[in-house]
Amino acid sequence: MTLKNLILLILFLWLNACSKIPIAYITNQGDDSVSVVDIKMKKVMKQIPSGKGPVGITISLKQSYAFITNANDGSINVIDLDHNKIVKTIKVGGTPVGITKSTKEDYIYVGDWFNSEILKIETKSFTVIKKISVGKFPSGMICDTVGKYLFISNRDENTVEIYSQSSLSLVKKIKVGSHPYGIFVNKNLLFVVNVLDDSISIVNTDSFLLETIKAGEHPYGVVSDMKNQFAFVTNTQDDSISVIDLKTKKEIKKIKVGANPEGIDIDEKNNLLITSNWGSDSISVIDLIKQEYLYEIKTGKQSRSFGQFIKID
Amino acid sequence: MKKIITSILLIFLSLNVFAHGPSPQKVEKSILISASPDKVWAIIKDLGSLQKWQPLVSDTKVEKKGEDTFRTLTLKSGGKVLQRIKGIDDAAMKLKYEMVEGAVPVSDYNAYIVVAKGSNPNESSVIWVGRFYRFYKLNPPIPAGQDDESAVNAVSGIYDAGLQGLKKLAETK
Repeated sequence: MTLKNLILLILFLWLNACSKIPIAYITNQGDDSVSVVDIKMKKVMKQIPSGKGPVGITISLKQSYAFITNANDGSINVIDLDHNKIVKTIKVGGTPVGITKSTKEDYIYVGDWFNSEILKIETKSFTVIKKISVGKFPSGMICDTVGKYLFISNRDENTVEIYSQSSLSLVKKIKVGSHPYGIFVNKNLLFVVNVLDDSISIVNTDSFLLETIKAGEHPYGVVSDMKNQFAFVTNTQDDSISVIDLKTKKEIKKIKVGANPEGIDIDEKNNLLITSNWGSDSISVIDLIKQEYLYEIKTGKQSRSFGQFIKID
Repeated sequence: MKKIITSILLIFLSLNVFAHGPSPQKVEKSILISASPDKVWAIIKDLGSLQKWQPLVSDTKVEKKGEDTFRTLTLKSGGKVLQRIKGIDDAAMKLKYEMVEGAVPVSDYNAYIVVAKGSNPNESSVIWVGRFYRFYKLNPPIPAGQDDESAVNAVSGIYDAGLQGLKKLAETK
């Protein structure tokens, strides 16, 4: 090997290593901040002061922004992922909670909890370009990977609504369990937690058929792996994650995590599952394949991170 | 007519039970007690004797309904509180409960009280943690006495008085 090749190889490995560091952005509703956490170094790199009552989050790698909903002051913070600082605050009013990016990441959708509305915001201009009325108390929101649908869980009317991403017209409204909250979609399966039923509903997005599977106590968040082999559910009142086998439709394992786990996100590249723990002001890191608890990292107060919060390069 | 009133009341009640704002509140209080964890845990675990250490409570009644254990507290200030016991974990020395209804300006109240070892065998550390929402669960304006601050103050008052009372009782030889 020539010296030039060796240098190139080292450079390549180094760059590769750099781009693979998973970073979690954690909204701390109790101290109005966002913790930027280096998962491999196991520490908070930066604590960014946010608006009041930060809850929801979505990350757009394409735009290199994280968007944070501040429920207590009606604003959205836009965080630049390269410099980890707020570059824009969008005043929307109301009580923004749920948030998600559109499939092409050219828009974000924000749910206004009390006013039961969805706002469409352009990520280029940071302006609200559309507002529609939806079901009562919209909470979880997510878009599919093909750019067709936006899914919303409406907590106080026990429904999931499916909207066309482009026109925001209602395609379908489906009854689920009691108090649907966290929501996730992968391929043609939509996952919704039913907080007061201790269960999750799984909706087939082609047939709109639904089935219900038991989870743990007071579930808040759900994700699944790329192959839809397992679903992982945070049980807020049991300080655990339920691992649900999607073939047998049964919970096969409970993994103990920090207190009152709410948010959950998955990083298959780095074999990680992360929960944000409201009760212990921390995040818990789990080995995805082994389905085993790894370690805890302290964050800010009352960590929630409702939505997708891991930055995966 | 009676039926109509009852159903209106029921609708009103269920609305109250099922709706709250998006900002859960937290109160966490702790105290060091000069008594063994076993002794302190025995006091907490004795569900029907809360009035012996919680100065805000004058009477406690424990009832079993099927699988569930409920506890009704009579407050000295008047009014009652109905709790459901969610778990008594002897190994962890942890009592978990929720408030079903009661004369405290909170909603969706969940709490636990846990006894941990102190720095020596005759010392305990007791931690009491509550998660709840304010009483008023709808869009602002929020009526006086039903906001986040009122909820946090009420729960803080209960924990402070209770932990002082617990310390006093446990340290009595």
